[in-house]
Amino acid sequence: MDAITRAKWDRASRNFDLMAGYGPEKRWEPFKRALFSKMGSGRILFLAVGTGLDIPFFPPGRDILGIDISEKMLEKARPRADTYEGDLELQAMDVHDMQFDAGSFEQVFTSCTFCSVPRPVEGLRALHRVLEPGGELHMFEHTGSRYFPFSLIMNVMTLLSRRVGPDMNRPTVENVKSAGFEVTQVTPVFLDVVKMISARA
Amino acid sequence: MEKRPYFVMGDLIANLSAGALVGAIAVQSMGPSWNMWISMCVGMVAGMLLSMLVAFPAMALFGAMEVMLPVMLTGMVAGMVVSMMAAMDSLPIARGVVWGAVCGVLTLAACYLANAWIGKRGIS
Repeated sequence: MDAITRAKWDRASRNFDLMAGYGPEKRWEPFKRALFSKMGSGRILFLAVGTGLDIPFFPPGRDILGIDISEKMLEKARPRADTYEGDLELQAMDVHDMQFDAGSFEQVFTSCTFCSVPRPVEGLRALHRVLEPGGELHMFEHTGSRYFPFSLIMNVMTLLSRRVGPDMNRPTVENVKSAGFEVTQVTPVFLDVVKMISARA
Repeated sequence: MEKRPYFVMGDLIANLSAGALVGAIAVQSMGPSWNMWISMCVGMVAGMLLSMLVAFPAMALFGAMEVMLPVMLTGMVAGMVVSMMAAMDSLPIARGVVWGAVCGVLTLAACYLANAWIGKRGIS
């Protein structure tokens, strides 16, 4: 497991809900509910479940494994997971070290995850491996922008934010394609920065 | 485009506050002794950094990128415009605040329009 990344997110867990728990979650709630409504009846992997802020938006009755690199984050997620009306298991795990058999999952969901995975294309390839052929990847992500001056701001912010948390300027759609997925839909949520990405393995 | 009143008001308050703060500090820091072009460049960079003081608390209440990007852009625009005005003529602080706030409202409107345009055009 990547000890540096785990330590960074263990530290971030102290104030994570204070920054992300109200404004961002309320603002993104309709979009996240729409994305998570695509959760099917098969086995689902939710990558980087964090403190579990997204759990209330999961549709009930699904079979979900939520993983996160930070055990401290998961400590905060467990009470939220206990309230979920379905099968929701949480495990501390690094996406780069997943030991699941190939094709173990029907769907993978992520939420503001690939701004933080240290080697994003490798992480996405790991997801491709654990998805069954034709399996679905659904992501709610923020990325860099192709439009000035937003691109400048995202680049400046990344210099500051990567020390304590995420990179702000990642080309996540391109990374998904580089990892071997077929991108089926990209839906903008705010500018070209916050978006929902759907892809097929 | 965002239509929920809580978030529209939040965006407005955050951008007005950031513009007013940057405008006030620009007037206090710059004056007719400054070269106009240098003051504009310094004002733009300093305005972007100063606007973070408003952006972070506002993000916790009203959203993440939806708040951060317009507020930091407001900081850049207000810093540039008010610094330029301060370098051209001696300004009272109240005028710096008002012009900064006006920059905030116009920048937010531009961001809403850009968001609507990108939403309509789609992204790949």
